[in-house]
Amino acid sequence: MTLRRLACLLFALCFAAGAHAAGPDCSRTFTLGLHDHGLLYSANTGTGVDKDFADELIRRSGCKVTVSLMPRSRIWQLIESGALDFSLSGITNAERDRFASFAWYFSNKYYLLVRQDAGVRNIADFERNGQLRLGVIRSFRYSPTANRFVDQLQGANRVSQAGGLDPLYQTLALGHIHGMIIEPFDYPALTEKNIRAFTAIIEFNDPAVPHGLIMSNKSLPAVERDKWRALVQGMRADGSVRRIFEKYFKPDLAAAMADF
Amino acid sequence: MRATRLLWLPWLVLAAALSITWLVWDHERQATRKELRTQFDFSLREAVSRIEQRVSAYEQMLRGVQSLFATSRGLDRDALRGYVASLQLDANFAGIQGIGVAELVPAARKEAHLAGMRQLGFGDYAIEPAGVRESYAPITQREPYVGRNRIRLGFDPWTDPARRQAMEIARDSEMAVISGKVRLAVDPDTDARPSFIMYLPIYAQGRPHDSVAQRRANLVGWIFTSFHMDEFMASLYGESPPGLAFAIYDGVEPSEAALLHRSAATGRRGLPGALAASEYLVVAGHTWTLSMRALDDFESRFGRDAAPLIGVTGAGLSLLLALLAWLLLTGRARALRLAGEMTRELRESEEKFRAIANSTVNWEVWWGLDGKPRWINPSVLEYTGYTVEECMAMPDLAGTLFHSEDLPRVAQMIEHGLQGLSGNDLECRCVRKDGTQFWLAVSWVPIHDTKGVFSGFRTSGRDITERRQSEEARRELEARLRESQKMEALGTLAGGVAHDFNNVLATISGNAELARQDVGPGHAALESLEEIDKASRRAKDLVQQILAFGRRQNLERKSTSLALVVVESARLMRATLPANVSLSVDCAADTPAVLADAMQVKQILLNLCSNAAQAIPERSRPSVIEARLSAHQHRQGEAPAEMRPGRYACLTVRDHGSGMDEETRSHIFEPFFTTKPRGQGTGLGLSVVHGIVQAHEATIEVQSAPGEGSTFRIYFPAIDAPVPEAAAAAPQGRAVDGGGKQVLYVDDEEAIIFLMTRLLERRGYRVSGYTDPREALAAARADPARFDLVVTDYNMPGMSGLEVASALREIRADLPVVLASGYITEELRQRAPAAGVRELIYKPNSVDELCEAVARFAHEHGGHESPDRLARAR
Repeated sequence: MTLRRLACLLFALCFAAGAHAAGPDCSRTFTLGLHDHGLLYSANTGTGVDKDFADELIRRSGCKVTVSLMPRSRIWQLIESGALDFSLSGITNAERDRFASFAWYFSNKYYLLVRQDAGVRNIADFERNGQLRLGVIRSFRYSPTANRFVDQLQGANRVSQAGGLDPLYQTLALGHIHGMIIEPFDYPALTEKNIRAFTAIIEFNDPAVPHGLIMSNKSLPAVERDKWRALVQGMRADGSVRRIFEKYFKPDLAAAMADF
Repeated sequence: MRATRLLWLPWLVLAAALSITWLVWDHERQATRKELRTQFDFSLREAVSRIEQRVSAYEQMLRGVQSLFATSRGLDRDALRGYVASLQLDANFAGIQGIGVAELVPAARKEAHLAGMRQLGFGDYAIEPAGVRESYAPITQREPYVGRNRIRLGFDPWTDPARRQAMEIARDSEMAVISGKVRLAVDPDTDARPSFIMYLPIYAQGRPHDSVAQRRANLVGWIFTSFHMDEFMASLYGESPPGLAFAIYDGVEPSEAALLHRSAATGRRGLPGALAASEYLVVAGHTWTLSMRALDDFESRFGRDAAPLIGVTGAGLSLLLALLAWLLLTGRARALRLAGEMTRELRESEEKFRAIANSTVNWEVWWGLDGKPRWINPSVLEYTGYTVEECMAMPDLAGTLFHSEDLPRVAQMIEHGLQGLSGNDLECRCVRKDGTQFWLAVSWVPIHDTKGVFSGFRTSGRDITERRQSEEARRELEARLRESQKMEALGTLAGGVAHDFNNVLATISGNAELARQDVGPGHAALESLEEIDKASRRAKDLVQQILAFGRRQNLERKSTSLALVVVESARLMRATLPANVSLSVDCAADTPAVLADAMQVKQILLNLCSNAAQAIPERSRPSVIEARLSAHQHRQGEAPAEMRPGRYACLTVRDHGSGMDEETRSHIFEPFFTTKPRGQGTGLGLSVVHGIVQAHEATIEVQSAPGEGSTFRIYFPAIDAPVPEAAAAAPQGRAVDGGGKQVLYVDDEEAIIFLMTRLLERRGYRVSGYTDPREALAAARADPARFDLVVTDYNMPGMSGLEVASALREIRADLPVVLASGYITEELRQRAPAAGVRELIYKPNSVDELCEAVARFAHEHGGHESPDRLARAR
C-alpha cells in the first residue's frame, strides 16, 4: 500500500513537473461555465466541487479564466460554438464528442429519485404508469439505461425540463413531477431539503459514468486540450480531486467518485 | 382443404395489408407526433433560451455598473448617472424601469446617512418604511431620474421579503439575482404590473469577498435594475414561436398569483393532443416556470397531414389487394363454376330443345351449308315412314322424299335457305315409304351459331293434306255452286221462254183442233192439220222438258215408294231400249220412302236410261244398264260434301258405255249441251234431270271416265213415313156439257181468248172473253149475276189475276173465280184463297186439258145455280 502511494506520488510529481514545463498556452483569458447543481456548485453560496476544482485547475494552469454561472444547456451550446472554453462535470456521448473533449476526474452512477406515493419499485414501474412525470435538467445526459428511460418518457411527453436542480426539488415536493435523476453528490441536498422523507432511490443498473472537464474543440487546439487534460490528470494523481470531494462528501462516497 | 384455403387466404391478405397499413399509418402518426413534439420542444427551448439570454444581457449591464463602482470611489452618484446616460436606455433595453443603488446602512450609520442625503439636496429624504432595524438598504439613487423614477428616494427594499431574498443571495453568491414577483415602488397603485428586480452586490473597494463571510462583511450595497415583466418579454430578441401560447410564473407554482406574463394567444383553443409542457427556468438564481402549449394552427404549420391519407389509401388498397387475391384464388373455381353453370344451362336448354323438337308434330330438318341434313327430328317417321337413321343415310333426302313434280320448288327453297333467306310459302307433295303421298307446308329460317355466323338453315314441315283436300272439296263445291247458279239462271230463262211458248203452242194446237173439226173427215186439209198437231205436240214436249229443267213444272211431292216408280218405269223403258241393251233393276227392301213427284222421278229414270242406252254403241256386245235403289246413310265429311248427314234413298243408274272425260262431265247438266250427233238429241235430258233433282232437294253425283261407263247417283232425302203401297188408278175424266153456263174469261193473250171462247162455246158454254181485266171487271160490275164462273189468267200486265179476284169478290162474293196459271208457285197457293180464288188450275198444256178443267170446276160449282141466272148468262 505504501509502495503504491509512493509510486503515485512520484508519478504525480513527475507529471506535475512535466505539466508545468509544458503548461497550457495562457496567452488569452479563458472562460469557464459553472452550472448550479447541488454540491457541484451552488449559486446561493458560490461554493461546490466544481468551484473548487475550477479554482485548483486555474491555479495550476496559471491562466486567467473567467468563471461564470449559466444554465447547463447554454453551457453546451457555448462549448459547441467555441464561445466557452471550459466547463465541468461533463459526461460524453457521441454527439458531444464531435465538439468537445473531456478530461475525466470523477465518475458516479445515476439514480432515480421517486416519490414514495408514486408506487414505483423499479424503473419499469415508472415507465408503465403513464401518469408519472419525470423532471430532468435540460441537456443533461446520464448512463445508457437512464438515457433510454428519459428518452422514452420524453417521447411520451412525460418529462418536465428544468434549468437546475432546485426547481426539480420543488416540483417533486409539490407532486408536479414524480421522479428525477440524481447523482450521489445530490444526496446531501435531499437531506437538507427534507426530500428524503417522501422519496425513495432506485438505481439504474449501469456502470459508473465518468465526469470530467469539458473542453471546447472549437476554441482549444488538440494540443492545448491535451495539456489541460494533463493538468486534470495531475490533480487526480496528486489526490487533489479526492480532497476536493472529501470536502463535500463522506470519505467513502468521495473515494467511490474520485477513484475510478 | 382447398376450399378452406380459398376462404381464409383473402382474409389473411386483407389482415396483412391492413396491418401494414396500420403500421405505416401509426408510424406516420408517430413520426408526425414526434416531429410536432420536436418542433414544440425546440420552440420551448428557444423561448427559454431567449429569456435566459436576455436576463444574461441585463446581468452584464449591471456588471458594468459593478465594474464602474469597482473602479471609482465607492458609490459614486455622478459616475452612475453618467454611466446610465451613456447606456442610452432605448428600446433595446425595453423593460428596464431604471437602474438604482440600494446602499447598505447599518443602524449606527442611519443618522449620518440621512444627513448626507439631505445634504445632497434630498430635503425630504427618509428611509421607508420607517422603523428601527439592524440595518437598512434604502434606495439612494435611481437613474434615469425622470418620470416615475422621480419619486422620493429612501424606499428600503430590505423590508420586502421577495426583494430581501434576492438581495441576500446576491450578497452571498456575488452573482446577479432576480427577485420574485414584486410591485415596483415607482409604479402607482393604479398601474401595478408584474415586475421583478435584478440585484448585484457591491463590495467595499479593496476588500476581499471570496467567501460568504467576507462578502457579508464587506458589502456596501446593491445595484439593481427593475423590470416590468411585459416589457421585458417584449424586449426579447427573436420571433415569438407561432401557434404557441405560453405563460411565465414566478416559482414553480403556475398560479394566478405567481403569474408574471401571459402571451396574447393564451386564450385560444389548444391542440386536442394536449401538446403542452412546462419548463423551470433558473434565471439569475431565481426559478421561473414557463408553461407552453401548442394551438391548433401549430399543427397546421408544422404537422404533416399524411396519416389520414395513408390510412384511407392503405385501407382502400388493402381491400383492393384482398379483392384481387380473392379474384386470383377463386378465378379458376369461379370459372369452373361458371362453366359448369353454363354447361348445365346448355344441357338443360338442349334437353328442352330436344324435348320440344322431339315432341313437336312438325317434321324438323336442320340443313348444313353443303345442303345436306344435319339433324332430323323423330317426327319424320310418322310423316314419311322412314326412320331418322334411314333419312340421314339417304344420298339425296329431298329427291327421295319430295314429289318429283315439286322438286324444282323444293330445290329453290333449299337454295334460298343456303342463301340465308327465310320463307314459309312452300307447299309440296311428299312420297311416303309406302308410296302414298301427302302434302307438306314447309317454312325455312337460317341458323346462326353462338357467334352469329350463318351455319345452315332449318326447315319445318307440317302435314296439310287434310287442308288441301278440304280446299279441293271447297273448290269443287264452289264450282258446283257456280254450276248450280248457272243452271238456275238458265232454268229461269228457259222456263220463261217455255211459258210463252206454251201459250203459242196452245193457240196453234187449239186452232188446229178447231180447224180439224171444222173441215170434217176426208178434207184435204185434214192431213196438214194432223201434221200441225204432231209438230205442236213435239213442241209441247220440248216445252215440258224446258219447264222441267227450269223447275217450272208443278210438283206434287208426296210420300212415295221409289221402288214402285222404278219398277214401273223400267217396264216402260225396256220396250224402248235397243236390242243389245238390257235393263236390270235392283231395289233394296230397306229403301226408305221419300217425298217425291212420281212422274218427275219417272222422267229422271227415263232420261238417264235413255242417255245410258245412247252411250252404248249400237254394235257393241250386249250391255246392261243397272238401275239400283238402295238406302244410304250419309255421314259428315263423306262425298258428296254438299249433302247433309242423314238417311237417303239412293237411285243409281250405271252403264258400261263409252264414259266421259272431265271436260264433258263438267258440262253435262247444261241445257242444250250434247255429245250426240246433230238431230239426235235435244241436249235437255240431263238438264231436266238436274232440275228435277234440285226441285226434290236431292243430290246428284256423277262418276265417269272415258271407256269405263258412267254412274249417276241420286240421293233423295228419306222421310219418316212408311213406304206407301201401289196407288190406285186415277179415275178417268168424264165428258161434260157446258149447259149454257156463262164463263167470264180474262187473259191478256188475245189468241187465248179467241181460242178458249170458241172451244168452250162448242162445248156448250157461253163465254165472255176479255183481254183487259178492267173491262172484264166492268162487265161483271154491270151485271154481277150474269156469270157463273170467272176464269182469269194470273200473269197479266197492269193487273194480276189475284187483283181481279179480289175486285170480283167486292162485286159479288159468291161468284166462283178460278185462277189459271202456267206456273203455280207455293206463294200463289197461299195468297189465292185470301183473294177469293176458289180454285187454282194449271193452265193446261193442251186445249182439251183446259176445257176439262173448266168443265170440271163449272160442274162442281155450277150445280146450284138458279135457272134464271143461267138463262141470263146465255
